[in-house]
Amino acid sequence: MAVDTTINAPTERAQSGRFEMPTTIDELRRSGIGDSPLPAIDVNDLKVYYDSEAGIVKAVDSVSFTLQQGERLALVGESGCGKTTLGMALMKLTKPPGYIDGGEILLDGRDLVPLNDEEMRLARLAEIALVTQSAMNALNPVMRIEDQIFDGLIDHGIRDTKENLRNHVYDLLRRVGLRENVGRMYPHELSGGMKQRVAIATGTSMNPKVIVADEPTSALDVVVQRQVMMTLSRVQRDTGAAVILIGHDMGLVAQFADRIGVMYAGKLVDIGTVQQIIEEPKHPYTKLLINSVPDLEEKRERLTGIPGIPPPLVDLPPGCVFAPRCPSVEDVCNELEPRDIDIGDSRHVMCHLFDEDVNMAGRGVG
Amino acid sequence: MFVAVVFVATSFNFFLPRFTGQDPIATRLELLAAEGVTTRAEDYKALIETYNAKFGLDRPLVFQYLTYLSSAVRFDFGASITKYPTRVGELINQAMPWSIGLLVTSTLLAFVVGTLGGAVLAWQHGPKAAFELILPPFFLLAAVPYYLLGLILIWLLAFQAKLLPLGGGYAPTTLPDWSDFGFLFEVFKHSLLPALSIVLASIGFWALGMRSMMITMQGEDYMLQAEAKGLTKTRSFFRYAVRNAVLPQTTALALTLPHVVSGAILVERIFGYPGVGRVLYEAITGFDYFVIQGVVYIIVLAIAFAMLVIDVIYPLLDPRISYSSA
Repeated sequence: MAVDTTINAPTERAQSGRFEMPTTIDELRRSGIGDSPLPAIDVNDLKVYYDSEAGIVKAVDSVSFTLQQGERLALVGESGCGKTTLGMALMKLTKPPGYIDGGEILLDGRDLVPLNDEEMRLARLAEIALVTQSAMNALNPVMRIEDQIFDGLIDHGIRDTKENLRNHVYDLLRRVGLRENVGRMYPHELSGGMKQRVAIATGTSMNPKVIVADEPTSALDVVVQRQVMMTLSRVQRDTGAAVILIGHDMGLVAQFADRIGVMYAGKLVDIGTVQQIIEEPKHPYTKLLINSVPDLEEKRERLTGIPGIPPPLVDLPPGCVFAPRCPSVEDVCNELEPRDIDIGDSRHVMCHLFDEDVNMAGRGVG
Repeated sequence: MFVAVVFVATSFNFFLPRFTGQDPIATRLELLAAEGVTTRAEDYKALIETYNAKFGLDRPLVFQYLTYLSSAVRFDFGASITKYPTRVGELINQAMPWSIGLLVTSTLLAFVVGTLGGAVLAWQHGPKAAFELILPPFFLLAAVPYYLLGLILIWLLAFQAKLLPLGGGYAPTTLPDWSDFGFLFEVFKHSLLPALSIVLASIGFWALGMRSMMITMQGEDYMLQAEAKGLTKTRSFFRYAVRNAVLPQTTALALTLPHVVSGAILVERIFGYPGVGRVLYEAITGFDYFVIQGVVYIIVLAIAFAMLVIDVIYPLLDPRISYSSA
């Protein structure tokens, strides 16, 4: 089988348009992020649906966003808003009864959606890597840390001496602030923060262009959370990978990200730079979300929550998904679905208030 | 620990047969009488006394117990009552290779086939369809006692189809000669049916256990992570899913194997197989204290030893278990 691959590899690559793969550690190190003019990831009209007895659940509905090379985007929203589903779909790890119903995921110009299982397998880790929500259990309990990192490298065609492989793993561990001897340890010998660092080291072991970090700090205490976020930040700068950070802690993600995308009921309703989102939130939902974050400098009597609950995703209201809870709701909101409006400065809002073609009395309030 | 387990179990082994209130010598003489050996009444009494003295059964129970303990340590259980003057050790030694050969092979075979089959059945990406057809009948067979299965097999393959011998370890007309290839083939032929009944009946047991473990394992985060790492299916199957799911299976295997020593009593009985199970069966029906003690003692030792082995090798299988830091 080994012989087969070597003979067929170049032609196969040319034919199927697979991603170029390094075959040694040395090649891998030099492979880094080139200066591609294309966006690191360009998601267009992505739909992830689930079949259920009650009907089709539109967990991610027509989401589009673009992430430049080395950019850091945070996706925030309430539980069940579809942010994790979106993250999994970007890795094409959507499990039945879920499926990608349509759309494009252009990774450095190449669409991941039509890739077959084997092509996608090779793209994972090498091109787009996942740092999971619960890194506490993300490690195989019966394997040494270094072996678990080797596995990913070897299955992506890296053939090199044990020494080179090991040195690479040591570099990865040092980069996330761990000692080399962690490589020889088993997962149960590590603390939660250490495991999360190992997850980051594993995720970056092949210099991917995009890292999807799904709530990488949710199981950790606040002090360790901050350390892990700083580690992720440093690794991101070192590798130049674009990061999609999925989280619900506005304060934590705001420190890390360049841009914030706000999701509500499977839709990306607002996206802009951290400053834009926090200082001048546009979408009524974003405003309410920002108001629900405690502010240390400003004295506020009470924190404002958002009344109501998100709508069931099976049976979405005909107009705007946020209309039932929206303070600026008008008649048109219950009838017409809002479009994705580009309001300049690469800022997008999905709300009639910003749509020139829709007549809204409340315009000017926002 | 090891010594304590062996001591307690060995003591039970001494007292239990004696609580039945049966007199082994009387039973023996009744058997002889049934065979037509008649004795006069006064001779009968003298005979029992002589025999009891001969086997030490007339002495106080405590004394017998101490003798028994010392004999256990020396692995010498004296002579068999029913098969006098054959020594107990000799009986066991003759039967042991038959039992171990038959049962170790069939148990390991069933374990390997069942465990792998169960693993594939639970694996979402595997060649499921084939296994979905093949394995469920084994789940059904797992519910059928193996001795019943043995009877059906004898009827089908030996009695009706006449493909395989009805029973025994080898044909009664041949002389045992372990260097003769023809004899070895005959032994193999005779072991096929009992082995088949054990394998068929236990594959389902291993497969079911493995299948449910695998389903649990596939929900683990490290399986998702293995997929996100872009691992090949073969690697995530063997090194991530099976590697973890097989741990409880190994414990079950280690606890099953020692029973090999006792032989599957019923299987050996049905197939007339000359193993330890048959020796034990005959000893129990004849109230042959010394043979029962000898066989059970060996079983106790084997189980205790197996537990010791699990304790020693388990840290190698599962790094989370270690004695140095615990």
